[in-house]
Amino acid sequence: MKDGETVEQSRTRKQDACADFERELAAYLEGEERQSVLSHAESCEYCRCMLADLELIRSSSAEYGFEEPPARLWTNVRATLVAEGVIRQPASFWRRWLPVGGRGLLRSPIPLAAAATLAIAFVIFLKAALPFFRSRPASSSAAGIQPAAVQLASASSPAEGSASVQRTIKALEQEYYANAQSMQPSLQVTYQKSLQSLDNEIQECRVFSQKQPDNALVQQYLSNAYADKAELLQSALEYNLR
Amino acid sequence: MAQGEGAPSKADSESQLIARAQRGEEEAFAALFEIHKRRVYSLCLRMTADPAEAEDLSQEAFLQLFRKISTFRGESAFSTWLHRLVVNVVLMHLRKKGVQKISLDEVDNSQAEPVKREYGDDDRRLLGSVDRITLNNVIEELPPGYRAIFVLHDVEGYEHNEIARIMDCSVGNSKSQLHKARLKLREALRRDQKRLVRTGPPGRSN
Ligand SMILES: [Zn+2]
Repeated sequence: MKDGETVEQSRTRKQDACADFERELAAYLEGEERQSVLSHAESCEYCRCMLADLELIRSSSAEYGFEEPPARLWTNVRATLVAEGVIRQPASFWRRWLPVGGRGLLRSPIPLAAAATLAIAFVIFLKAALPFFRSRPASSSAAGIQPAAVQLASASSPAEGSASVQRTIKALEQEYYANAQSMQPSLQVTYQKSLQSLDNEIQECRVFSQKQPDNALVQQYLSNAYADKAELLQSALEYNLR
Repeated sequence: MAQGEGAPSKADSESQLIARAQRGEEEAFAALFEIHKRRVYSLCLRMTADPAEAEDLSQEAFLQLFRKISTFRGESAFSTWLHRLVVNVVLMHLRKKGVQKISLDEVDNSQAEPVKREYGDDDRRLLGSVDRITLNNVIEELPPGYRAIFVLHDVEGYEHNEIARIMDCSVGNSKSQLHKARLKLREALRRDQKRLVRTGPPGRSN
């Protein structure tokens, strides 16, 4: 308080200085030269806090991290691009497993060789598993309850292969759900999300394939999606057995 | 732009990806999607403060991008091109939802209403740093017009003249709205911190 000043006068003077500070603050934060802002902040606790806070907000915002979109985003974009014919060359089965830009399932950047080994092991597994599943009496009834759309899809593609892959998936799926309870909860959630996303993908392919039964690309996507699902289930089971 | 541009090798491989996408190769589309998905989705999420809307808008933006990728000639950086497209998609959406220009063109009264002051108890600054989750929470509370300008300027690094152009307002408006947005954020952050101090960390209150 200055000499000869009343409390009221002192407060008014302070408020005036703070009001000046506020008027200049935005410009100062825009990088303009405002000596008055700095000098007032030095003498006024309240305004110093405001300046520090606003600078903190600005710097925090600039370092704002990114959020991960849901996995189905790509599934949906891709399905539309395929339907519209924007995607004209689908990735081959093999390439989809390699972590070139990733497809979500193999999110960790595993070495190429390891990915290839995994894919090869999967095919060996399929070849070994198919006769086994086929010979089981249950498999015929499992095939019998396939939804009509699937039968339509497999009828217009290399039918026998597609149907046996589906039987394999069915068996894997039963085993997966029988074992899912013993799985680590966070892992279970991850697998469940991936499975859900693949099921959505399969469902979409089915819808498209009903609309365009002659579209070979859609058939290819459908069989790729089935293969993805079988591989995912297999990896879940393998992980759980370790 | 602050983010998005990488080393020359990355730019090279990106232009190769673009060329392959122009030929319709799925792998190239998938790789481009993978490179940009977080940035696109985050921008949509922050501008709308709604995960479902953000997902729809990201999808729309990527579809638009990929549908016209054959027209991309490389005059501007791909990430800049994509970014403009995303901003346009989001702004179109906000306008359709009724977030009018009004909220931006309202009379600039920032000078007329000084911040309400309660000297004494409030003379404490925000504690520590502001993390992403806290920031997400308070940004959600901003009115959409303020939020858009704040996100574009402080998060995405746009200049006021760019914002004025894309948001169809004056540079002065953009500046004053930004300042108001920051003050509102500060208020919300201080309120949250007071609540935290009063009740303790979440989960311990009962
Ligand atoms: Zn002051």
